[in-house]
Amino acid sequence: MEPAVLVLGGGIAGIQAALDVAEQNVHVYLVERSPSIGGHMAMLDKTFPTLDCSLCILTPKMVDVARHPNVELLTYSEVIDLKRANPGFKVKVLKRARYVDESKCTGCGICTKHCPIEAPDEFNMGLSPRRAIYIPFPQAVPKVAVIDYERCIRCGLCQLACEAGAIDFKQKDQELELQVGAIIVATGFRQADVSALSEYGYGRYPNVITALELERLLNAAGPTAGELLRPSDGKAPKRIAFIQCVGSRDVRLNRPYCSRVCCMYAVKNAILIKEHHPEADVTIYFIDIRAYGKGFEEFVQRAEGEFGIKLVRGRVARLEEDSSTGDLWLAAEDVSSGKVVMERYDLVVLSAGLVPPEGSEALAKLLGLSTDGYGFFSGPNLKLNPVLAQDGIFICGCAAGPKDIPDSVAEASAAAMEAVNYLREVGLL
Amino acid sequence: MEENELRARLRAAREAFSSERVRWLLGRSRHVAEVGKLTPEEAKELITNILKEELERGRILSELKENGPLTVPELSERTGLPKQRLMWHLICMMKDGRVAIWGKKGDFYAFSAAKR
Repeated sequence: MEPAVLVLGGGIAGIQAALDVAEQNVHVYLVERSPSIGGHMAMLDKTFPTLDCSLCILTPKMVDVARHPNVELLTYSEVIDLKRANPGFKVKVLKRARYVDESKCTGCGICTKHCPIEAPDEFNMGLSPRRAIYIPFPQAVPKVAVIDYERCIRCGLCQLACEAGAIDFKQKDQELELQVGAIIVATGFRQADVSALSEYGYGRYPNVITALELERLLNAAGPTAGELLRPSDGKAPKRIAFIQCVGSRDVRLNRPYCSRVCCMYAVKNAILIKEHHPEADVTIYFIDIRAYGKGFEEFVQRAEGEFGIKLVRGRVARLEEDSSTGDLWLAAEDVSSGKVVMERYDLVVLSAGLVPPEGSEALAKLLGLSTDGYGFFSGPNLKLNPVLAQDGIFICGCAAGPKDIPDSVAEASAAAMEAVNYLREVGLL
Repeated sequence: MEENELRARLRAAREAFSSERVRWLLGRSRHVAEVGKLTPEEAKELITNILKEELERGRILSELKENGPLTVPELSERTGLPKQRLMWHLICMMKDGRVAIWGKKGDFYAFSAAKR
């Protein structure tokens, strides 16, 4: 058995955990399901409460982890089998075919210009197109094209365009056998599917968007080059509402938990809008504002005092579209005045909660992990060893429950330390 | 057909057939039909659909060149295309570098043809 650590998930938690293990001179396999590492943090425009450019602080870590001599990056890959070997584990990883030779592709992107097939770009939440052969985003690591085999029509135009000769339709999925001493699970989250909440009309009303869609619209590298255009008709929205606690803190959905980041990301996005458009009328409808972290309360106070963002305590009952204009009528109870308010908005943003990503259940079964009843991974000693899932397996970041970036990073470092300690305990180091 | 409309359609066709996507696809259409996974009928349908899409985009581009900058409601009036479809086309063309956001015109953002 090799003294190696397997890290599952290449978001900020997985990247940090992999770096910390590798820095202790232990070999790391970093397995990421999508074609690039980066996770959700790569999609965010700015971070709260410091308003750092998210990708600017993430990219150096993405590059560091990929270039670290102790890290082996396996993107577009998934764990499909796992057996305990005492000590350690025997793991089978499926490395899906990209149909592009990673060693030849230079990331120039010429292939993507010649592909005739357009598909919604996942990185931009489907708000812009990508081609059937694509590079997930400009800072992707590895910066290698990938073919969406479902949509690809095998016309071979990319092959004719690729000067490096990197396109290989004969490539096959590969199964790799790894031997590792410990596992860190950092599989993150996905944004709750808010179309299930019919009262808000997401999916039916084009001007009702989710928080992640707003992140992309506000981003200078996003679909609209950072200009906030509403999706139905390109109007510059003047009246914007944020609705909090959509898809979590909702017993109807069996998600009574708080997603912990939505209050702050909504306040942050409201501030970003006001910075660019001081004339905009921005209101946040909330149950209560949870500003628990360092500098968070001050951030909320700045939003109200300095930027004039309105905070209204009240649950929004429903949204209705004025079909002639695409505007939205919002009905809510303002708890502080006891009155029912009916307001018209140009754009409504749903602060969608965080839920476990697809495949979490199967992964829990495969790894023998317990979950907390909502699907997030759990462990036997959450109070004093919150990163321990079970013997040799550690959890960090949103895989263990919703949390913000600094908490994810702190947990990732803790999990890395615990994993290396574990290797020593079982005599692998 | 009215003369102006005919001229607008011809300008749209000129724009569409000078787009990189269409030139590559048509130039290699035999290749697409021969090596791809599509049957000849499917290949024909695909090419027809892409041409239709690019003709719409060509129409938008020629309107922007002739009469721009224009907002989505203005473009909708001139081309008869639904606003949400126009938004998608405009975002696709921004990505290709054919269209840019010009600025605001009243309450709406206006688009212009990108300078090459």
